[in-house]
Amino acid sequence: MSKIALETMQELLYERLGIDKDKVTLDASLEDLGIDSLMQIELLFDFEDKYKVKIPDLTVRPTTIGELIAIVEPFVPKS
Amino acid sequence: MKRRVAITGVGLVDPLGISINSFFDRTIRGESSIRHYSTNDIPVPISIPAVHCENFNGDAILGKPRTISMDKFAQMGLVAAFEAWTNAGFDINDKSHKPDIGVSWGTALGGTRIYEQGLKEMWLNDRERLPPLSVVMGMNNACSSHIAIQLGLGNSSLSYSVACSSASAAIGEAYRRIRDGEANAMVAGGSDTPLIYGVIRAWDGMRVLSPGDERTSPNACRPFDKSRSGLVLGEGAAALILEDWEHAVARNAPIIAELAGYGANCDHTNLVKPDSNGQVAAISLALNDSGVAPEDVGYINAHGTATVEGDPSEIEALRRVFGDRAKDLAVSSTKSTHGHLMGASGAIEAVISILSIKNGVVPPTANLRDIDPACEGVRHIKVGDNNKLNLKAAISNSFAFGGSNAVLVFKSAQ
Repeated sequence: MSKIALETMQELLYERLGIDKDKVTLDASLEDLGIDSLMQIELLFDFEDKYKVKIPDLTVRPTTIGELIAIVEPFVPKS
Repeated sequence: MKRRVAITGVGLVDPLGISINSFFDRTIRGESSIRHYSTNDIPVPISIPAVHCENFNGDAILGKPRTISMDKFAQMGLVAAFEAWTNAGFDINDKSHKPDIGVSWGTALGGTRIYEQGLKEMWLNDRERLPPLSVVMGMNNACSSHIAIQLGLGNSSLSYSVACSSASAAIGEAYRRIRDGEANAMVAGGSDTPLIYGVIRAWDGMRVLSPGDERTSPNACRPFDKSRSGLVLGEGAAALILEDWEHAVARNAPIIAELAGYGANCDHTNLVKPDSNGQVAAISLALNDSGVAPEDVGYINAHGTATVEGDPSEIEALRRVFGDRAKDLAVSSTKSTHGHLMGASGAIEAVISILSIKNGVVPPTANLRDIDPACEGVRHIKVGDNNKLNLKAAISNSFAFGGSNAVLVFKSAQ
């Protein structure tokens, strides 16, 4: 799993929702963190904006941070 | 049988960020919240008199993540609603399902700011598409939706966009829902944030904005005065808790006043030119609905925007409705101090009317010194006049572009 993708997710969630970075772990539940489907789409948009990429529409609904990162990871720089 | 409607809570966003009591005290003294407002916007910076709630910080008051999906107009509305809800003796942390309580909210501009920001992003920063939250932040029913979600209100979540009559219409329609037994209580009010580049430029183009600089801005809004030069835009929110009288009594709620009548109609003559015939009819409808005799009305909170055409039309309507009594009828326009809150103006003026009845004192029209002869025939309250009045009833007028009129009649709770 990309360290950059996780760190980006942690930064975005802290800036946007005030969620402590240490709570944003791969197995953390999106629901427990208060990230609903609307916020998931917003986060994808943030990733697109940050890395100037285009992420396809979701075909599955992620339930954990790890599953959400798996969607964006192919579009995040490796280093 | 029609049910009586009590007002059990009020709340607002004070432009100076202090409190509702401070706001009312300043209003009674005729102290202006209008300041010079300037920006570095491109292509042409803004420089106008305005009421800008610069100390308002929705994130600090409401907290993240609640505010992440809320535009400023929704944040301000939720803050006002929370204050009114608390003052009515309800708990803002109680999110249990309440099928007998709803929301009725007014806004003229809604989330216009979000779309303007989006356009800027696309045109100036080459964005291809916009954040998805823009959709739910920009929708006109965003504020009523957030209030309903935060307070568990399942009865109805209705939004009214009737230009400058929006909040009065929202309050009046909420009153009807309670009166007719559709709801036991309603959160009613309005919020608007017109200090948006495109909105300001459009009003400027209409040539109805009063000019002003650092020194003159506090006195820029002069309703009914010979020297009046137009309206002053203001941002803000205000909320009322309307409640079935018996419901309020049963839970020992503080009853501040009664909302006794509502009249709504349309001039159907012109988009912008007011028509005193329609205004006479709207005031008469509200009085008839309330059962209040004209001689028991002690105060009119006028629409009074300080435009050349609008002010005389309203005073003519009052002269026609109240006849010989008009000359003794206390009238003021508090827009002279809090500015024109667009779709929220009816809500903030309702709060002022209610607190005037409760406290036995009415606000003046600030900056009114030389009354325009076309606006004579009523008892204009000026700064320094004796303004202590034992009010049985008061009226708040809202007359909007498009010819939509909404008039509310408030009665003392005694």
